Amino acid sequence: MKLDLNYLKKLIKILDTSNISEFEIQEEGSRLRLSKPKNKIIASSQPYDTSFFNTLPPVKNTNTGSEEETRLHEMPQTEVTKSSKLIEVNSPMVGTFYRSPSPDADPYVSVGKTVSEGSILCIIEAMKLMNEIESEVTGKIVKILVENAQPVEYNQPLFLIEKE
Amino acid sequence: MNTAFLKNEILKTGISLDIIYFEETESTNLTAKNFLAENPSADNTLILTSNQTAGKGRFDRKWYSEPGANLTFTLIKKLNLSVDEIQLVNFYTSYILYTTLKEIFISNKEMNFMLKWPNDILLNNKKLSGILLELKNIETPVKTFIIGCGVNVNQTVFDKSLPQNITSLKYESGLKSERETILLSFIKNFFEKTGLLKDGKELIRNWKICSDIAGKKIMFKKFSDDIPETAIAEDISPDGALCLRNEKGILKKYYSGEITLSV
Repeated sequence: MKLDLNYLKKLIKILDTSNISEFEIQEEGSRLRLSKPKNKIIASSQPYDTSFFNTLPPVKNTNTGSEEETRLHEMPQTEVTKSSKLIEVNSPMVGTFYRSPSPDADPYVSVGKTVSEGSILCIIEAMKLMNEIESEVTGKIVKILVENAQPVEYNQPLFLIEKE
Repeated sequence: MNTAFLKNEILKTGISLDIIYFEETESTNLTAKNFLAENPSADNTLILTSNQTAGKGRFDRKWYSEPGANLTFTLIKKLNLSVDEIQLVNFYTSYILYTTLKEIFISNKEMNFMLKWPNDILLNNKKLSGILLELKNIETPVKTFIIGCGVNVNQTVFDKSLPQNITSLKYESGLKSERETILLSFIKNFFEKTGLLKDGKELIRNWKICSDIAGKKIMFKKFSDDIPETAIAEDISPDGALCLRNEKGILKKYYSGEITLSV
C-alpha cells in the first residue's frame, strides 16, 4: 500500500464526509486504520486539513528538519494505527512559540508529561501580547513539534497529545 | 494613593469599574491572573498598587518601580474580538495612554511623547511606559484581556544597568504629577473611545501618526537574544505588523520582535 499524502488525504475526506466512524485497510502487509470519534481528532476535524502530515515547518533547510522528515515518512504502521487517540494542538495565531514563561524558567510541558484540561502548554507571543495556550484535553504529550522561540504560522501544529 | 478620590470621580463618570487596591503587590498582572482564577467572570476590574515589587515586562523582564512614585495597574477587560483583532487591544491601550499623557502635557513643548512599536511610549526618546498584555481564553468569542500598564511618573532614580534609556514624567518636566489624575484621564479615555476597537484600520492609522518610525533606519531583533539587524521601517500594516525592508531590499512583515532606533 502506498501511503502517500494524496492517498491519505482522499481517505480522510471519504471518512470525514461519510457516516462511517472507522475503517481499516489491509494491503500488501501494511495496515491503516482511520477513525472519527466525537472529539477534535486528527484525520477527522476538517475535510481538507492535512496538517497532521505537515507537522514540520514549511521550509526545512536545517539538518534536524530533514531528519525529522525522514522519520515521519518511515513512521511504523503501529503509530498510524494509534493516531486516532492523538490530538493535535494548533497555533491559534501568527507569533512566536515559547515553551516557558521566561528564558530561565522550566518549560510548561515536556514530552511524556501528562497534562490535564486547562493546563498551560505554551505561550504564543505576538507584538507583546502573551497568549497562554491551554490544553483542551487530558492526556500525555507525545511530541513537541516546534522549537522554542521559533515563529509559528496560523494553525501550525505545536503539540501532539495522546488523549487519556 | 488616594483611591477614595479615584473611586468617587469614576462614579461621577458613570463608568462601571471595580478598583482593587494593594499597598504592595508583586506584579499587578499576576494579581489579576490570580483574581481571575477565583473570579472567572470578572470584568472592568482595575488592580492597582503603589508598590510593585516584582513588576514584569515581556519574558519576565524586571520592571523596577520606585515605591509610591509610579502608576502600576492592570485592567481586566472582557472584549468580544476575533483572533485577528486581538492585537488591536495592544495598539488601543498604548494609543489611549499616549493620548492621555499628551492631553495632560499639552502646554509643555518640552515633553515629546511618541509611540514605539508595538506598544511602548517614549518621552524625549526614552522609555516612559511599558504595557504587557496577557490573554487566556483565545478560543472563546469573548476574551479576557489582562492589560498591564506601567508609567514612570515621579520616579527619579533609575536602574543604570538596564540597556535602555528610561525616564519619568518628573525627570523630564521637573514637576511632580498626580498619579490619580493621570489614571482617571486614562480610564475615561479608555472607556469612551472603545469604538476605535471596532475600526482597526482607523485605529492603526491614528497610532501611526503618533509614532515616528516610518522611513527610519532601525535595529531589529527577532528575539531577545538575537543579533540585531539593520532595516528600514516602512510601515505598520493594518493588522499591526511591522513592515521592514532589510539591507537586501526585501520587505517583510513581523509580528514579533524588538526594535531600537538607530542613531
